[in-house]
Amino acid sequence: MNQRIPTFAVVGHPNKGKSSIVATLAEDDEVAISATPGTTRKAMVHTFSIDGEAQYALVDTPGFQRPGELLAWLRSRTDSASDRPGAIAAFIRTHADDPRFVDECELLRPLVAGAGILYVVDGAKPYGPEYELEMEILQWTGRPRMALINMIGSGDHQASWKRALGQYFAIVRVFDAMHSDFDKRTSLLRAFGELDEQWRAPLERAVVELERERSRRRQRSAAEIADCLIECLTHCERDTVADKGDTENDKARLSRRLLNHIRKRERQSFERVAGIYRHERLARESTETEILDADLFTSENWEVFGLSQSQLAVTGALSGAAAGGGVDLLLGGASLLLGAGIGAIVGGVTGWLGSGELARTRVLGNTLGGRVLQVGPVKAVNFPWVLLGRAWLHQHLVSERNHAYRDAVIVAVRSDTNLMDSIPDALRRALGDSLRRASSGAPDDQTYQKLSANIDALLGHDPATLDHDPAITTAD
Amino acid sequence: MRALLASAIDILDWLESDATTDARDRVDRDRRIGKTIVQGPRYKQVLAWWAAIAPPEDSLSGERIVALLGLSNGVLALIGTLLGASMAAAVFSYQGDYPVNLFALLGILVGLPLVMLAASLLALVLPFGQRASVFDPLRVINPGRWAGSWLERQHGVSLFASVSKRARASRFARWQLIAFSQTFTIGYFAGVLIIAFMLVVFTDLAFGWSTTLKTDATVVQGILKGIATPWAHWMPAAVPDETLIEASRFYRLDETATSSATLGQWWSFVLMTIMVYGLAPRLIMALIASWQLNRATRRLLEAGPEIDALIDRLRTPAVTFESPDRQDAPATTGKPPLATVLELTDDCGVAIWNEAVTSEALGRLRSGPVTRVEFIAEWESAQAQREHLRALAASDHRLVILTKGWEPPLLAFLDFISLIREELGHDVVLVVVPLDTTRTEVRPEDREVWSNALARLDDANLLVASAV
Repeated sequence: MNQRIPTFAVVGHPNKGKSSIVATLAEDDEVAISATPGTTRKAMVHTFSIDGEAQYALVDTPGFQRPGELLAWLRSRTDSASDRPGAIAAFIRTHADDPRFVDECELLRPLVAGAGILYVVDGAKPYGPEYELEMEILQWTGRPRMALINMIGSGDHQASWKRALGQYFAIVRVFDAMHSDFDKRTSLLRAFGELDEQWRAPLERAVVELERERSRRRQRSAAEIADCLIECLTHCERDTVADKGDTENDKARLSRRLLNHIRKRERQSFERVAGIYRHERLARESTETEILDADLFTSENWEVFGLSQSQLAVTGALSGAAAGGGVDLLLGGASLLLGAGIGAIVGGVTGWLGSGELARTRVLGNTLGGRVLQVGPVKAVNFPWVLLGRAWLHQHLVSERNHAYRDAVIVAVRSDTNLMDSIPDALRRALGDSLRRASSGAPDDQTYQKLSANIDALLGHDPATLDHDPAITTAD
Repeated sequence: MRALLASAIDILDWLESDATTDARDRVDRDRRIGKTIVQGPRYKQVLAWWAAIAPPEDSLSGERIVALLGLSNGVLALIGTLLGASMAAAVFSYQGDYPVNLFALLGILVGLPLVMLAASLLALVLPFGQRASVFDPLRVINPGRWAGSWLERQHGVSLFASVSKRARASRFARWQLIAFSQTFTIGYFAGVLIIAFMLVVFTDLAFGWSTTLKTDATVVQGILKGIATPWAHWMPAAVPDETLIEASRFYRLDETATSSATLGQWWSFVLMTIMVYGLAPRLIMALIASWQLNRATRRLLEAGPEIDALIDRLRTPAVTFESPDRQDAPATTGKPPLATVLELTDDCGVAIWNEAVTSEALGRLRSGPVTRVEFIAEWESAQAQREHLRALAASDHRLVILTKGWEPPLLAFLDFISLIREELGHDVVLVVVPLDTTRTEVRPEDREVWSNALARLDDANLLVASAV
């Protein structure tokens, strides 16, 4: 642990959300969080770095287990306030190998090394006098300290906690580890800087860099969503099908394949966006994207070398005309272009009628073509908007979600709901234009960049303003 | 450009598989590389990063695809040359009876490809949305399309759905199609010119023009001089004069023929027309396509979520939280104590731990008063705790301990249980009752926490009770 950087030991009673606060501030969904007391058995240092340069560190510590005995030991050592920090250090030295005080040694060690104190209590539960043992021990350390009232349940005992904590801590703040948004998190980081003047600059730098990182994450999410939309809006499924097969059955099969592809791509996009926000293990519940058969563009053609039956007929006609034209030329025009005309007719008819046989011809083990059924792309007018709305909602939920919160994200938007009513008209028009280009079948990198930029602007808005709409689930 | 394309294919594929690499490892790796890369165009940064990554060659497919593209180009050029040669052989065919019709010759050999080129250009400059209507008919006779289909069908190389499996790569695909077409057409004109030149050198050709219309030769001269304008001032011999034009007009019923030597003078005009209006535009178009293809290839490495993320990792400070090794939640040991329902009787002792409940609230837990009650707290010394327990010792062989159910049991509480055993012996039945005064009943998960913690004591005479 590098004590030259601001270091904060998160300490307190077991099961009061110490690890949750660390998980949220460190954006780490791997921090073990459990209702079982004693989940954290060793002090765990989480170091925030910018380009490898450590800015500050959080130390997740085990909870107090025998605070009464510890305080009794300390009191037995000294009466002088000036000797109290020394008594703490002496306790660690004396009990370094004592299995009864493993947890106390682990949590006190960073404080002796110079860490600031973040004392965590649960403001949803009543205050109890047993907490005074812990607060007094922390007072003995002489380290700068702040109390955080975490709100784990539905109760509200903040007032009694504030009265008690105010006697031991210079700063008392309420911080909901599960639901605090980004601004509250950065505000808390800034508040850490109030504990010690020297800590202010590195913490401010950390906050500025976190804000930049957040902006970049939004851009990268927009890029990912744009890429997903382009793929989903242009994707189609093609397959060579039996000459006299059940066309409806084949269509249904390809429709399912198309829908599965779109769902898979959307899930992949959700995962990638979650990854951008470092939610690597996020469980997700989502309503399925609805696509009706009527929404699908469907075509059925004979194809040889990728040419449809009509295209093959045109090609045949042109080839026949060229060959016939050659005959005309040989005759010096005496045939009055009959050669070209007959050639075109023969070539065209052959191309039309012969496409099936040609398609079945095998060359090097492969047929040249066959009856090709194509399903997709999805042509429903509201489809791009539904996809975009779901992506917007998901990004919002993920970006505002704290890493301590382990429940599944629920993305549910009814297909008949227009999330876009809440955004400015100009942005809606720009998005509409970008989506139309993306659906064109040949979107290029400029289409992607414009769509990405417009989605970035969209992500700057908050779909939670539509919380009152029962068709949308934004709560998780 | 071949190397660039191979790299682009490999990089995009590799980035896709790199998504499974741990995010922090990616950030560290790429930022470390990024610090060694000088600022410049995005694609150059990506290529510099790729050089630093240096993945094993055998895992890459870019070179193979580029080689297939090269093969496709070669095959197209060959087919084009053969077609051009065949067409030229047919169109230049001269049996000695009638001269080769200049208009038919130039119309077929030059005019038709020129119309195709114009349509292609039109499709390129048309506003978005109208392109498809122009491009779709062209696809039928587009050699590039044939090559793409062949590659996909025979080699599984999906070039146009995308060289990189990305729909947004359509710019690349479009220019690759155009480049293929130019290769084919350049081969075609090469074939035409070779045959034309050979026929000029080794046979006697005669050219003429004919029309049913009452057209003055000066009109035709105007047209032909217009055609010859590009080379008129530096190759005047290839510009037909009025005499030649007049002499070259023929009527099939007219037996009087101009000498073959005179009619053969057209050859230089014909070859120049093919070169200037047939080959040259295709060469220019091929150069443009090559340039645009190069740009499109570069853009594959400049835009896209993977590229954006990579550039981000290369250029911006890595913001990381170094986290320690994980620790798993401790496993529950021992047999959980039996659950029971709280029954407070007159003669049972009650220990209230850490002020879990007030005396008044305790009264509400039973119908009558409980006479033996001791308030015992964590903050008391062991000696004080012993004295409380001794006060409870005269009671029935049953001791009820009321605790705050919302607080987890600390080791200090387990120490207290051990102290009870020391003072009261192991025959006393201990009933631990986690209460929740903020609710009507303690939460099941809190009761489970208590059960699991007390299980560590492995005490058969220890029960956990619930109170409503």
